[in-house]
Amino acid sequence: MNDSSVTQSIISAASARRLWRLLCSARFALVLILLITAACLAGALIIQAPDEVLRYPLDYNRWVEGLRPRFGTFTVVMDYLGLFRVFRTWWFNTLVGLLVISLFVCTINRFPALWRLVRYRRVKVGQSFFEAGRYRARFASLSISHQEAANAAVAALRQRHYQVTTINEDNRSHIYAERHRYSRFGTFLTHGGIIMAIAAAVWGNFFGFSDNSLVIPDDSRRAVGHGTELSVLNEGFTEEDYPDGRPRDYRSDLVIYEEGKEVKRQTVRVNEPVEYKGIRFHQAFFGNAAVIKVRDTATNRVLFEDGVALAYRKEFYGEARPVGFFTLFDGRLLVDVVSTAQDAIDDYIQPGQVVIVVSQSDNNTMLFSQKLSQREPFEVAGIEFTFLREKQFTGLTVVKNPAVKFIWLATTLMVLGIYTVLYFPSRRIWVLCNQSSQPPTLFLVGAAPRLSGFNTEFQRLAFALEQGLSPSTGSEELSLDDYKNGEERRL
Amino acid sequence: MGKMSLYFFSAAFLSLAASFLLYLWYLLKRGEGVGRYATLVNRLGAAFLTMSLLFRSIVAGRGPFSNQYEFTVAFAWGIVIAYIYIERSFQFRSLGVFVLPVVLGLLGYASTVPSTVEPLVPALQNNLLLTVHVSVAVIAYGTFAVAFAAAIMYLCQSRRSVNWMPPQDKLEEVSYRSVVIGFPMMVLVLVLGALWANTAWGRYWGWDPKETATLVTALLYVGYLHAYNLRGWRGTRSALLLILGFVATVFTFFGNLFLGGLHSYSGF
Repeated sequence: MNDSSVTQSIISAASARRLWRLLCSARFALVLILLITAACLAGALIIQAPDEVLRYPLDYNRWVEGLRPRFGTFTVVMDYLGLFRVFRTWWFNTLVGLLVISLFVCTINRFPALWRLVRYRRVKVGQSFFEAGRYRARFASLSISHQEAANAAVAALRQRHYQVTTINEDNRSHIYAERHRYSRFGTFLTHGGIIMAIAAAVWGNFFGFSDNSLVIPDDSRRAVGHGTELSVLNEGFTEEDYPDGRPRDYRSDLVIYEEGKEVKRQTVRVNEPVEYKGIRFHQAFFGNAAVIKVRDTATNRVLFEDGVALAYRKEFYGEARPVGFFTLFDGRLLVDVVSTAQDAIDDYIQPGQVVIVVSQSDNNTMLFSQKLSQREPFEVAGIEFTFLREKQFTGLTVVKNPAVKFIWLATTLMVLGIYTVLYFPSRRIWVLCNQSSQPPTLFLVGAAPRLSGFNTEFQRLAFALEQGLSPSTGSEELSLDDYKNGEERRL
Repeated sequence: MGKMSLYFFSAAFLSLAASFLLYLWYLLKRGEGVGRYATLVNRLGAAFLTMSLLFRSIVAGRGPFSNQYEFTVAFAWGIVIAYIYIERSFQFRSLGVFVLPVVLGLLGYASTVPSTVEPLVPALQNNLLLTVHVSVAVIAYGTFAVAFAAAIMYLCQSRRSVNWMPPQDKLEEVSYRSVVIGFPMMVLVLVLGALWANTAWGRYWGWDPKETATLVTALLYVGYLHAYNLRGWRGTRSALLLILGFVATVFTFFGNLFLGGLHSYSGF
C-alpha cells in the first residue's frame, strides 16, 4: 500500500467517524426535527395538491395555474420549491430519511453502553465520587456503627421501592440503589416504533392500495379490480337529514361477491366499514346517477342499460357540471353523461335532463352531443339512447393495507416508550457509610435525569435518613428546604 | 338541563375572573390569605365549569366536544385543571396571573359563538372515540398552556430578576412537568386520531391540514424534550420552544375555522 492510499483510507475513516458522530448527535436530531416541523407547517398552511391531481402532470399544471390569482408571481417559485406538494418532495423525504437513519445509528451507538450500565451495577465507588454529584448529602459524626447506618439507609431506600445492593467491609459499607432500571430502554422503544411506523407506511404504499373511485349507482354492481375477483352490489344508498337540514346518516346496503358468489352483506356507514379478506369498503361520498339505456334499433339488442354515476366534475358548455361516463362497442365509443349544474341555475341543462357527448375513445374526437329528456329516446345511426330516470350512487373508498397492523404495533411501542421514559425516569443512589473517616460519616449521592423531580425525592430521602440515623434528634427544627444540593448536615 | 349548563358557564366565567383578580392582588400585596382565597375561588370556578360540561353532556347524550363552543369550554376546563394540579404540586400561586388570562380569553370567545346543542354529523358518530380522542386533547392543550405561562415567566426572570417570581430552575421544572403530562397525551391524540381516521376514512394518515397541524404541535414538544437538556438549548431557547409550542396548539385548535380539510365539520 503506498502513502497516498494510506492517507486516503485515514481520511475516509475519519470522515466516516465524523458522519457517525453527526448522526448520533442529539443536536443534529433536534435540527432535523425542527426542519421537519417547519416543512409540516408549510404543508398545513399552504394548499396541497390532491392525490387525483398529482397523478397526471397535465392536471397538476392546470391546478397550479388555477392558484395564480391567489399567489400571483410567487406561484412559480412556490411550485419550484414543491410547496404545493410538500409531503411528496425529495427534500421532505430526505429529511425524514435522515431522521430514520439518525434514530437507527443513535440506537446502535447507545445500546451497548446502556446495556452495560443496566447489566453491571457499580456498587463500590471512591469517596471523591460523593463530592462531585449534582445531588449529594453528607451526615457527619455518626453516633452509630457503619453497619447500623447502612441498615437505616437500606430501610429508607427500600421503603421508597429502590432495589438495593450492599457490600460490607471492615470499616465501611457501600450501598447502591436504583429504581426504574430498565426505563432507559424506553427511548429505544420509541425510536424503534418510529422506524417501524415509517417502514410500515412505505410497505403499505408498495403492497397495498387505496382507491376512492369506486362509484356504484343504486341496484348496480361493479368490479373492485386491483387484481381481486370481488365485485360489489349497491342495494341502495340512503341519506337522512335532521329537521334543521344537517346530515344525520349516510348508509349503503352493500353485497360483496367473490367470483360471482355472494360472500358478505352489510350496511356501511361512515364509521362502520365492511371488511372482506383484508379489503375494506368505506362510505366516502354520494351523488346523483342517471339510468341510461342504449339499444340497437335494427336488432332490438340492448347494448347498455345501467346507472351512470355522475361522480366527476368537468367543464362542459362553459360551466363545471357533474359528469359520468360509460363505453360502448368494447370501449371504442366513450359516452359522457352531463347533468345539470348544481351550484347555480342552469340555463342549458334543466333538471330532469342530461346531455350525452359521444366520442371516439382512441383519438378523443367528438362525434355528436345531444340533450335528452327523461323517457324521450333519441336515435342516431340505428342506435337509440334513452334517459330512463335519476338515481343515487354511493362512492366507496376501497382500501387494502397489509401493513396497518404493524402501524398499530409501532404506535403502541412509541406510546409505551414515551410513558416509560417520562413517567418512570431512572434513579440511582450510592451510599457510603465510612466508620474510618474522621468524623465517621455517611455519604449520599444520587443521579437522575434533569428536571425529573428527583431533587424533591432526594431531599425527602435525606430527611428520612437523618431521622433514621439519629431518631432521638428531635430538638432541631428540620425542613426539607434545608437540604440544598451538597449541603452537609451534622448530627 | 341546557340552561343549567349555561348558568354554570356564567358562574365559572365570573369565578375565574374573580380568581384572576385575587391572584393579581396576591402578587402585588404578597398576602398569603388573599392567595388562599384566590385558590379557593379558582377551584370553585373549575367546579362550575365541570358542572357546565357535565350538564351539556347529559343534554347532548355524548361528550361535550362536537362544536367550537363545546371544544372551547373544554379547552378552558383543561387549562384550569392542569393549573390546579401544578399549583398544588409546586405551591406556585403567581402562575395563576399568567394562566388565567388564557382561560378567560377562551371563555370570552366561547360566549361569542353559538352554544346550541347540535346533533352529531355522520363523521362524528363514534361516541367512544369522540369522547376519548378529544378529552385527551383537552388535557394535552391544558398542560401546554400551563407550560407556556411558566415559560413566559422564565423569560421575564431571565431579563431581570423579579422577586415575586419563583427562581428560574423552579419555572423550568414546572414547564417540564407540564409537558411530561401533556406530551404523551398529545401523542395519544395523534394515535387515536389515526385509529379513527382508519375506521372512518380508510387511512390512518392523510396529511389533512388539521392532523398535520397536530403533528407540528407534537413535533415542537418533541424538539423541546430533546432540547431542554442540551447545552446551548437549556433555558431561554427551550422556553421559546414552549411558547412556539403553545402558539402551534392554539393554531391547531382554531385550525378548524380556516384550514379546511376533513376536520372542517367541527369548525362552527
